[in-house]
Formats: sequence, structure tokens, C-alpha cells
Amino acid sequence: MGSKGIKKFIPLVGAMIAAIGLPASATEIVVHNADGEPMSGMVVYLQADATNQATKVDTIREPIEIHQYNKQFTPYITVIQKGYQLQFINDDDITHHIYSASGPKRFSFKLKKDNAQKQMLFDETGHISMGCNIHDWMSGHVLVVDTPHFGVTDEQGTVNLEQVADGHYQVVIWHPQLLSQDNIATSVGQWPLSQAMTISVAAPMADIPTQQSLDDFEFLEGY
Amino acid sequence: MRYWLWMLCFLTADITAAEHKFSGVLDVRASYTDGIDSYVDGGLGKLRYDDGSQFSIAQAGLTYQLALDNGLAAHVTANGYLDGVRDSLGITEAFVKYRGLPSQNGFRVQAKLGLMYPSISLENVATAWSSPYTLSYSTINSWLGEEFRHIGAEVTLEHLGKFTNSQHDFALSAATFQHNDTAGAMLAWHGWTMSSRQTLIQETLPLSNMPSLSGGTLKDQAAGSDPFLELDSRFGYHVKGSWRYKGKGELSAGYYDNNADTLVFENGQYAWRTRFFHIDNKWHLPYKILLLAQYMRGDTLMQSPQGIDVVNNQYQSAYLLLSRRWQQHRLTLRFEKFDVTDNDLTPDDDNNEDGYAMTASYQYRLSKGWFLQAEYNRVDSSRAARVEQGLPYDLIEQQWQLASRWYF
Repeated sequence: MGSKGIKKFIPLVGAMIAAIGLPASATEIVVHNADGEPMSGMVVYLQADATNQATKVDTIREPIEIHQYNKQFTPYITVIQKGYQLQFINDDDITHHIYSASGPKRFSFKLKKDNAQKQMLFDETGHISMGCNIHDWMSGHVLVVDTPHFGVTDEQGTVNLEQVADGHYQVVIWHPQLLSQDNIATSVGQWPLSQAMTISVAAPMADIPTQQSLDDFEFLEGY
Repeated sequence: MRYWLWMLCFLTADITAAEHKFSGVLDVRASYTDGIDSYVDGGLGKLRYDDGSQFSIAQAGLTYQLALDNGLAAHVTANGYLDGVRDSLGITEAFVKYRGLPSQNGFRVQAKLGLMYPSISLENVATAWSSPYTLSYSTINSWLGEEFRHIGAEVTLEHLGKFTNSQHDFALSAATFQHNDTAGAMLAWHGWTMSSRQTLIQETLPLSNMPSLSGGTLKDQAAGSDPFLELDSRFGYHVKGSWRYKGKGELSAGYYDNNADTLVFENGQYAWRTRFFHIDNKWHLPYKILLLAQYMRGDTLMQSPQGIDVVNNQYQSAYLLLSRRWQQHRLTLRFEKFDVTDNDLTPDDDNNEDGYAMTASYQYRLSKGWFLQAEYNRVDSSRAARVEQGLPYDLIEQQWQLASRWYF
């Protein structure tokens, strides 16, 4: 996504930056909703301006894994930098049929029981929504970004982005259930941060789907 | 028949990247029945065992699945019974299934081809068409297990709500089939039952000792009904619509018509025109209580080759099942009401029936696939045809069952 595209969402989401007294050169970004409550599980990434080429830092620890555990995508959301590999690992004792039905990367493969694995390269940015064609309640998301500076907020709504080179950045917040255009909210920031950056997201969230079947009998045959 | 077999071979020809899986259920039961001779063995008893105590292999079910990476899968299910009433072993289902991938906007196509059940039962969802909730099925699903199977094709179009951040899924399915032309005969001649047997593909179902069979109106009828016959080369159909509300439950309604030509009669087997609609509701109530409810209402017509109504019945049945699990304990209660109304003028074949049924079942899970289950069944019915055979008009039949069910 170009920076021009991002700029037009700035007024839409009404993002704001608040100052909290912290020591100089902070690394934290805190995401709040309109009621001031921390938003956990939100993807946050920095998009460098055209005038401010992204620095070549490698903050990625490979391999990045998506597990199928207890008939759930774990984690629910995975962020990956363009050009990197993802590893799918089935921890369950049943077969899963993983697919993506939308986004820049379409795939469909079966992962057999007990640690079957599959590695896949993600070389185009965008959002990939995944499901399992055997267990419809399973859902997972991959966001491929073109920056090494990204993370997912913790329970306190906080993410730590380290080794960010000085400069001006778009701060993009993304979640598949964020009810805004393209599921994003954006803000801007000047690095180094003198204190933690707090971003308030005005757009509401849809319910995050529970990855759970209500049928608790394990020997169902899909009649 | 040859056409369907050819289609099956065609669809299973590509067996590259196949995954094989066996699953099964072994149900061993001790039971005590307070009733009359079971319908399974030519009696008019509504339960699957004869009067007295029994020790049986109530179900030995095995399913083989061959799944390909392209969404095609083949299923074959065999069931065996060693119950002292009618011991037998055979195939109950054999079909090929295709499940496409959802499209970008959430539509998915599924298809089934082969020998299968019409998709109606909310109870019989576990391995080899067993029920996770009770040992004996409701009267509706006992009838499906006895007289319903067909060779045909079913296509389902679904819309999955999760692609549009919606909680609602919708599905519409249509099936067309053959080999179910005598369905309705057993419901007419023994009425509703509460059972846990499924008719095997090679089985013939014995009729009771009805006076009309020996020299009466039904003198041309064979002593047994062959449930999966094709007599008239016509296709029947079943359509069904479903709505699923994520995390809450599902509601569906459908219409079934075997479209049999009632003027056809061959080798002692009449073609029965059997039609019904059904409404099915599965709902997760507060306090983790699961509700299943099904209602079925329809008619069945059997005529002489001259076109005179011999059997013209209306029937209906409804059940309400409540089930709740506490860790390894599960308690299930089911209440039922059923009847058959005889609308023909045949003097020696009164099919009128009216009754209630009740089931209480307790299940204890010993390990992942091993369950112990204790169950009480009670059927309280009035049936005129029993009197002709020296049996009471009003009858209460009861059954106590203790089972060990092992799923793998």
C-alpha cells in the first residue's frame, strides 16, 4: 500500500497522539479504543515515508510458525515481512485442510495429523484470510507488510518497536475485525519517540469469532 | 443402478495423494425389555429387543474413508448386529463426497453421490450413524434408519458468513434419487418404533403376522418388505434449506418425495408414494443445555395395480431432546408424540396409531473414546392392528439398557 493511500485514512479514523511522561527515546506504542480501553491483539506497523527509506534492520526471528492446535489457528493473527517464509504446523491428531480464499496469496493444502508441516513464501503485501475446509469454525489471518517494524499489541494494548531509524513514519494499526475501510487506522509519528506514543482508534471492532465448535462429541462424521 | 456405479468409479479413479482413515464404534449392551416381540423380527413390538433380558453387540460399525487432496472423499460404512433378534452384517452407506473450497465471497458447493441417508437426522451425527446422545433413536430417526436410504446425488450450496463478518450461514440442498420405492410400508404395518438398528443394504424386513397377508387384501404382498428397491425407474427428490447462527444453533426445513408410481407392483413388492416435510432445530440454550427438536408430517399411498387405494396413511411425529454435559457426565431427556391416521377403506388393514414416548439417558465418559451409558425408554401407544394378532390395543413398552460404547 502506498503512503498516498494511507494518508487519506488519517481523518477517517481520527487518530491522535497523546503525551505520557516517559524518558526520552521510547519504543512503545499503546493502542486504545474510543473509550480509552487498551486494545490487545492489534497489528501495529510502521511505514517509512518516501523521503525516509526504511532502514535495513533484521528484527525477524525465523521461522515464523502458525500452528493448528486444538482445532484453532494459533496465533489467530500472524504478521510477516514480505519475502519471508511461514511455517504451518499441525499439532492436532486429525487432518486439517488449510485454505486462503482472499488476498494476494491463494492456497489450499491438507496438513496431516501429528506435526505435518508446510513452508510457504509470502512475497506480496496484503491480508490473507485463512480457514479450514474441514472445521468451518477455524479462522486465521496473515498480514504481509513491507517493513521490518511491526508487532502485535499485548493485553495492555502495548507493542514495542525497536531499532527504528530516525525519521517520519506512518503508524498503521490493523485488525481483521476493525470496522473501518481496509480494517486499518493510521497515525503519524516522528522517530525517535521522546515518549510512548498512544493512539486512540475511533472505529469500533466486530466480535472476534471464537474458533470453537459447540459440538463437544469428538466422533462426529460430518453427516 | 449401473449408471450410479459407473459414476462412482469415475469419481474415485484419481487416487493420487489419498489419505485413508478407519473409524468405528463398538456398542455392547445388556438390556431388559418389558414388551412384546420386536418389530425387527416380525412382531409388533416398538423396541428393538424382544420381551426379556438380552446381552448383545448392539452395533459394530466401521467406516472407511478415502480422502483426496482435491476435495473428493469416498465413505463406506458397514454395520453388524449380534442381538439375538436378527443377527446380520452388511453395508449401510457408500458414497463419494465432494467439498469445494469457499469462494472469495463465501460460497461453497458440496456434492454427494452414492448410497446414502437423506440428510434429516439431528441425532445420528456420529460414527456409523450412531447418536452421541442416546442409545435408542427418536421415532423419526428410527424410521429413517429402517426404511430410508437411496442411491442418488445431493448438491448443497452454502454461504459462510465469516467471509463477510456475519454470524449467519445459509445452505440450500437438493437431492434426486432412486431405490427407495417401498418406503412407507413398515411405518404403515408396524407403526412408529424406537430403535437403534439401521437396515443393512441386503436385508429384507419381515412383516408381522397380519391376517390380511394370508388370503386377505394383502395376499399378493411378500412376507417381507425390501426397502431399497427400484420399481418404477422414476426419480424422487429431497430439498432442504438451513440457517446456522454461529454459536447458537441451526434451523432447517425440508421436503421429501420418493415420487413412486403406485401402479407398479413386482414380485410381491408394491411401490409406495411417500412424501413428508420436516422441520429441524438444534439450539444451544442458556446453562449449556442443548436442544434438539424435529417434526415430521406426511403421507404414504399404496395402491393395487388397478389403482384402488389399499393403504392411504397420514403420519406425524415430533420429539424434543434436551442434553447437558458436566465434564465426563452427560444427561439426555427426550419426549415424543407420534401418530398414524388410516384414510383408506381397506377393512382388514387398520393402520391407525397414536402414542407417546420418553427416554432418559445418562452417559459417562471413561476415556477419550470409551463411554458407559444407561438408558430408559418408554413407549405408550394405542394400535388397532395389535388386536387382530391377539395383542392389547393399549400398550406400554419399556426398556432398560446399559451399554459400553467404544469409539475409535
